[in-house]
Amino acid sequence: MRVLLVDDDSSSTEALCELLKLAGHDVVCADNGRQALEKLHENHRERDYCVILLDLMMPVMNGYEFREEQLKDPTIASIPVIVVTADGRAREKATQLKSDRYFQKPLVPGELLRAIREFCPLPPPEARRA
Amino acid sequence: MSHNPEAEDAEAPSSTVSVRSIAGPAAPEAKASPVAVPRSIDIGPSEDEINARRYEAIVESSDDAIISKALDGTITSWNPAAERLFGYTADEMIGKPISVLMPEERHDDMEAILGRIRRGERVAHYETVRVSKTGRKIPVSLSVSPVRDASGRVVGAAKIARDISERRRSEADRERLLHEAQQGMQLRDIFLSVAGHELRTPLNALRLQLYNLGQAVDAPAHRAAVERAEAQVDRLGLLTDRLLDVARMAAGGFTLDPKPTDLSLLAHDAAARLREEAVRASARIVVSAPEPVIGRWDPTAIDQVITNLLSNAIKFGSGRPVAVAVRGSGDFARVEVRDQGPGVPEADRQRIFERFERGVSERSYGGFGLGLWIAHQIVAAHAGRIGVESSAGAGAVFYFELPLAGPPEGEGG
Repeated sequence: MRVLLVDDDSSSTEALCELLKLAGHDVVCADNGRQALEKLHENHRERDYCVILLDLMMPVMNGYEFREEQLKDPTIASIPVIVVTADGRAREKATQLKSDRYFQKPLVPGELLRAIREFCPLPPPEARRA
Repeated sequence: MSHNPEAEDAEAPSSTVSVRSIAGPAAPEAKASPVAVPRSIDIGPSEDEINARRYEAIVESSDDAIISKALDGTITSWNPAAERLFGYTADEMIGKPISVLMPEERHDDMEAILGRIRRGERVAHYETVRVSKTGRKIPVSLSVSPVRDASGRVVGAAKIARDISERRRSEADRERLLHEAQQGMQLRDIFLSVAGHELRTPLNALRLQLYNLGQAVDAPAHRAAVERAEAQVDRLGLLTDRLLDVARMAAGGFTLDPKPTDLSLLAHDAAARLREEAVRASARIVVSAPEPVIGRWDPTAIDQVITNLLSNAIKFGSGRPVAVAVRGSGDFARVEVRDQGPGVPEADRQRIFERFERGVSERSYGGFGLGLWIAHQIVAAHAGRIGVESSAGAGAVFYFELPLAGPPEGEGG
């Protein structure tokens, strides 16, 4: 099960990707909504992804447009979304996006990891080594 | 505005002006009369004459132009105010068609107004445009009444024209100012949103990279250095948020988005979010919010109030437990945040809710001294109240109360 990370800020993405990998998660990154949809369809199965970390302000396809497309497509609609935004009204934005989890940047890594773990339980250490 | 004159049915005789005749130029009677009148038989003016003079005095001294015309539109009288407004003298205008005053595009006005007058109707407060002698277009409000002869037949019209340029100018000014203010507010919101995004994005990358660095280093001294750097990033993040909030509020008219909100849920959420901050201060947060307390509030703003109070309690609570309690009673909801720190001296209890004020020295704790001011602004905008109860050395209870009905209409912006 993978975490799909959608954010156009490469410095953040790089660091977050490393952080999640260190925590034992399998991570796929996308620069914008369009690329995220492509990644989802490459694997085209909801069971491949346990959660999507979604930034909102992105070029090409922003977080709102992505979420709209996602909800229209029954093969990916049920993947939970955690909104991760630098917008000051993160809570409101999350409600707009029908997502009940949100984090405002700058992220507190411990809190984010706890939230991700609710959706993506880590495999036991032996399995991770395999 | 309608192009057609607004008409009022003039059944009531009081809305029409009765005159016995349309006065022509005064005849030079004194010279022409050869008849000697005995001085002893001076009977004075009749009541009708007195009335006529009274009306004449009113017409002469009126600030509004008063003009009368025959049913074909020929001007039959012209008062001094008409002269001032349109620039023509009475001599120039009496006998001329009223259409002289009408701009090309308003020529239909005359027939529309005279049509109603012929039917005995009155035209009230009809706003249109007239042209002065110099060609200046003047916005006017017209009231036109039929003039009847002794037998009640409509023989002409009396018109009052009021110059409404000043009113129009102030209306236009008001509209322009309103538009500018709205535009300014919109620009400010866009700027703050973009500024927030641009400031928080690099802070995010910085914090994540520091976290990874902290995971990678082993030496305790290095770890401690990373932790110190993380604390500085946290502080920058907080200051950024405060600065943006204050910019929004200080510019006035910050907007609330009230909706059904559970205060208990907000308290639990804020406590969960601040758990790590509490752990760092060796404090514990205890929430007592056993049941939903629902009201019509802006959840983001109220969340900020709880967060600010809770964050303060952690900061100043001397590492002892911090208690949050939420309860509803009657039409109000109340949130209390209790700490067991040094408390707030009575002299400071009002002051700490002001801008750039803090209860302790700058050296002890960082920040702009804006957290409580922001909380105060938000609570006040919701028509609620905020305060602190404290006895020296026994901690402090910061509380706020909100009406369940939410902010008054118009605060929703």
